[in-house]
Amino acid sequence: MTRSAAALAVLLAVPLALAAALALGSVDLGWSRLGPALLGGGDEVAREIVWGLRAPRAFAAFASGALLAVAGVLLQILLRNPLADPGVLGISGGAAVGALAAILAGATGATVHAAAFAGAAFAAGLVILAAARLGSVDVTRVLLTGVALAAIFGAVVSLMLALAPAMQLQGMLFWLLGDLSAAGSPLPALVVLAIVIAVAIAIGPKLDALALGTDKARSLGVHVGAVRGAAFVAAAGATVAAVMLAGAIGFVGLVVPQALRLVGFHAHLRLVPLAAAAGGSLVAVADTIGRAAFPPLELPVGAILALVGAPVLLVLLAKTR
Amino acid sequence: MSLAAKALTLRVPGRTLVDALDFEVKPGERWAVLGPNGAGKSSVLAALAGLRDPASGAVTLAGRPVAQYGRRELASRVGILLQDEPESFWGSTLDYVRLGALARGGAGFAPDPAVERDADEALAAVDLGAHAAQPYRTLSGGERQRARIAQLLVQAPHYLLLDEPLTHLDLRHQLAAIEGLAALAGRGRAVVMALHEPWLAARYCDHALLLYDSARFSAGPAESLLRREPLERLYGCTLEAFAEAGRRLFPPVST
Repeated sequence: MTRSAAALAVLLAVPLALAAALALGSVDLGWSRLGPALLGGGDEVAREIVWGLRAPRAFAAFASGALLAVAGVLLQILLRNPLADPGVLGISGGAAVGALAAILAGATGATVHAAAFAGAAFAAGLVILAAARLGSVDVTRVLLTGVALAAIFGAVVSLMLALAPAMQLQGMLFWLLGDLSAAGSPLPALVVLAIVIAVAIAIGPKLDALALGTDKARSLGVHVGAVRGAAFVAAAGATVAAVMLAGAIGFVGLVVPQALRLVGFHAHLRLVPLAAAAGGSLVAVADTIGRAAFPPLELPVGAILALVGAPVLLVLLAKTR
Repeated sequence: MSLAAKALTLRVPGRTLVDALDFEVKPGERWAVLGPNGAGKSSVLAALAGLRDPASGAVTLAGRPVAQYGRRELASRVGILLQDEPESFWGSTLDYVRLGALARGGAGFAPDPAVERDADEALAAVDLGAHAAQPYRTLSGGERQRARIAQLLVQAPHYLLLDEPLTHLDLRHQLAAIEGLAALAGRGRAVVMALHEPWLAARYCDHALLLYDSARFSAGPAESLLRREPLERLYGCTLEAFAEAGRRLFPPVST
């Protein structure tokens, strides 16, 4: 498979994944009702299921996956570490503490989102402050700061799980595995996604030059501090928007960028949009499977993701050099 | 317009590399920077490129401290070939060389024809035309060094600073590289090269900066500095000096 064919496949996956997410679910509408509903006609119930229930969730799944994948791309080049993912900065950890505390207190829906946002923003603020204080040069220290924060949040999460009454436990576990069932409007996340992609593309060639080292990048005309700062804030913002929408979905941010690199996409101008397309499609598909496989049960999207995505990575590892 | 060190002092923890260095590079000049290991050759070049803050003094370009230039503005005027670079670049040799045009903004989705032409010419100039599509990281050490020179040619700054540009190059490519670089000076650019071979300096450079161990320096015309006595003092060994057909050679005799 050539690179352009791969790029085309990734881009085509977006409409296919979204169409599948609209067409499939716990209720089997059948083609006769689904077709007209997809086109905006048909009976009112089918239309409400497709556009009122499934569409927001499909776009929320897509947005969160795309945001996490782009955040992964940015963090991996920024920290010069292929294993970096949105989790390393402690942002998902902060969101988890906020969300679980809210669930523990009996909150649902928008309150949980607000609490997740507060936790994520708090963690992101701490890491950005630490990075700004340390200067952008010492990447290891920023990374270790994030790791330390993540460890603290992880410990708090464990304590909350241990102390939680059985009634709240399932909701908490689902949030930790990634949960789109209570995702609100995807619009803010889609706006953040558009901004983050625009920023990443604007600094794309400069991110490429960072691979040559700080001094070389500077001598080629890159304001390294500004580029790193922009990438860092974009990654943090993307992570915050994703985790408040969908909970702590793991895997996407780490694996999607790496899989695309294995196929041969490295230049950030192309890697960033493709990561958004692939990450978004992957989460949309995983969430659709989670909804449609065993209705009325919903399977956690994070688990499906790993089950679908990890074999893809293994195949790529085996087939590429 | 000139690139100048003004009372430039560079320190690393526990050591002063150069103390109150004064010298001035003018367009069209070819400078050799010579000195023993650790004398501060790389640090002086990095400071000239605005990549290292002096302990005191300044580097000025056209009378204005380089620290006051924007990175992009500076990149079109001063370029540097560093001694070390992380080998983590993922693209083809052509991708690598094209990054030289970053300051010109020639790195978008659509290839800029001017940049493509410059990149092709630069690759041909360093004899890598046949390797344009090869992944950069699979090039040999010498080929990689030539790709780095080609990237600097695409950047096309007025002042080219090169830290040991001939490292890893075979004899033919050493000659081709240094002749090509020296020829750039004929077209109004200035070349400053850290070298280890006094005979190359004597043959291709018109000015020399000698950096001694003791943070002292001499700067001036090559014919007065590239002689047996100053070089013996510089390297701390006994040399012979031959002159044949106007070329000077300095074979070492003993330490």
